[in-house]
Amino acid sequence: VTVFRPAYRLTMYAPRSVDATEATILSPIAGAAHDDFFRVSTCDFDLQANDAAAGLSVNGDFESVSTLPPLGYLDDVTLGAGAGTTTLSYETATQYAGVRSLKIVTDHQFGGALSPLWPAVPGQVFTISAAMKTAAGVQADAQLMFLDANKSYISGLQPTNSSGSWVVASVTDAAPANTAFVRVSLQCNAVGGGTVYFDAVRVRANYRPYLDLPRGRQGSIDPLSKKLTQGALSMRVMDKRTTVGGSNANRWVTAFLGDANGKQRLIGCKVLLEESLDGG
Amino acid sequence: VTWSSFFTGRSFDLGLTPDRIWMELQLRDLSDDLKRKVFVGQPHTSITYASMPSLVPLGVQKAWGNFTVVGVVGGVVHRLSTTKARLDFSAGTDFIKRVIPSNVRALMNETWQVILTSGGNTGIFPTRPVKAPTGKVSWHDNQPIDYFLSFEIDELPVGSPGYLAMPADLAVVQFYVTRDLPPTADSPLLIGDVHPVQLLADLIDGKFSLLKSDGSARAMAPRANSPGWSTGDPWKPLIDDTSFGYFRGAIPESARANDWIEKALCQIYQLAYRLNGAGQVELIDLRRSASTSSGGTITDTHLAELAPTWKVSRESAMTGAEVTYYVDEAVSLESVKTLPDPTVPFPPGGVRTTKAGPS
Repeated sequence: VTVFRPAYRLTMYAPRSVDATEATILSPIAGAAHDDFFRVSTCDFDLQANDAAAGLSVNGDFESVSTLPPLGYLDDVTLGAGAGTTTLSYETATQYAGVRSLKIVTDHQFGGALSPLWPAVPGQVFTISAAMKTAAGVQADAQLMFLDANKSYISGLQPTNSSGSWVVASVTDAAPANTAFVRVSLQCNAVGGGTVYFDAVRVRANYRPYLDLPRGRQGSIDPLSKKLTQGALSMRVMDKRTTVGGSNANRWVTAFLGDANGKQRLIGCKVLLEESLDGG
Repeated sequence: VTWSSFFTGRSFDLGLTPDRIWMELQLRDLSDDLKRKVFVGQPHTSITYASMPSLVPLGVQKAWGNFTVVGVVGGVVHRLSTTKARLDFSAGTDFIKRVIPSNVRALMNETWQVILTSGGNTGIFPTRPVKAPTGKVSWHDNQPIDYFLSFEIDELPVGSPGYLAMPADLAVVQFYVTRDLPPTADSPLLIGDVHPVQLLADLIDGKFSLLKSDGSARAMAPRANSPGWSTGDPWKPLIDDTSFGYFRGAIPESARANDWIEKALCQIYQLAYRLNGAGQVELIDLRRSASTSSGGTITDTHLAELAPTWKVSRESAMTGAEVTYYVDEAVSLESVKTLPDPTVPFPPGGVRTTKAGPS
């Protein structure tokens, strides 16, 4: 007998992350670095798949739009992470799948394309996989970078390929201590740079078991007066201990806000709770 | 995993449970957003069925019921600077079109808007009526009544909604004067015949609330598609349903959107609304079907998923109704000429609303 239980995930947005026009509700501001939301769930899921509704798509297949830069990515020079020249374009003749793959031409080592920042906590298990190929003599790295609260590099998961044929590779590991953010870096790992290609970039994150099922949903309509009472819901979020000692109580708050005194700042934040009934 | 929106709201409270392992997060939905004020002045430019009455000339600038549009008056611009001018009435403009009854005088401490058309272009120019020079005219028993001689108008900053460059000196223009402030009993917002669901949609879309600095509307909440509908306006199937009839009214004051919608639209037209999981306003048609057919067999295809834990409740059964109703009476502008007292009021829109029941 299979016991069916719906899955839930909760996303909490800092006020500045929400599109002021709200044409699409809870859509982050166009071009903003998505480092101002926090997400917990009752199951694992891809950061890429099915995130379009929340406006957080990483666009790992590069099929979302045909314009440049690719949705969700900017080159390292524009972001101030590298010096020299890096050009992003689409490969449409020898793409891995679909219509487009990402082509990167850079004149410096580690030049490439960077995704927005994603909140993460130490111990959280990530998997990154990507299809890669290169021009002769260089190495393509699809790195998931672990960054601390100051957005400084700690370490990374790094599937690579140095051949001229498409190769799909993946690496899985837990985020190290002090991790506050992750970021995808599609880069050319060769002194003096070169040309590298990427497609089918996927990041899977283990968010379990931070979230409990929703409880106490309220809200009513009086059919006589047509009066609507405000809907309400209660959630419980587990502050999972990942290391001995430390302030277990405030881990969830600190992961979102960077300090332990952020409770008041969380009040009024917009929240989206999603449900999955496919058991996936 | 395929995700669908379950609840959209704001965090209301966050606290650590005594076991120091769980954090309790209280969420509230976005219905607070529907408490925004509506009827705060002139509606969004896309609204063709509602307007504030014209103060000069007195009457309506958009048809309302049997009321005909009063039209504009002619004027001549006398520039005082590049951005300021004196706007004279064209020679021979009838005094009755610029008379100042007591209702209008009561509004003269406000800033009014001159809606001016010059060379085929129309724009807004603020004016302070209290500074406008006036003359006196007498039609009845030598009782003099004030009338406007001219207005001093200012050009809006470039880029403002309604901006129009100050016309050239001695330019011949057409204009009328109105307010862009919350309606009053004397200067109500006149909503012409409109489908109630269309009005409800425009209210939710923010077209009757404070507009953004560029003149565009800021929606209070997105609207959810009607069942089985996915293209065009989300509520088109209901808007196309002519059995609802029409709404027409004179709005004497601004109100909170949710209160006004529930009383003036939902109660009358048997509508209700709620916020769905995505934070969208979902409209519910509470009218009972007129169909008495009971044929056919109920199968699984007739099943519809109920929204979890949404409930309906009622205090008591309704056995009767006591209705307060009002009569809107058209007052002829010509009647000003026969008023024995110069201070007798004349409503700017020409609408006199009288409570007619219950006795």
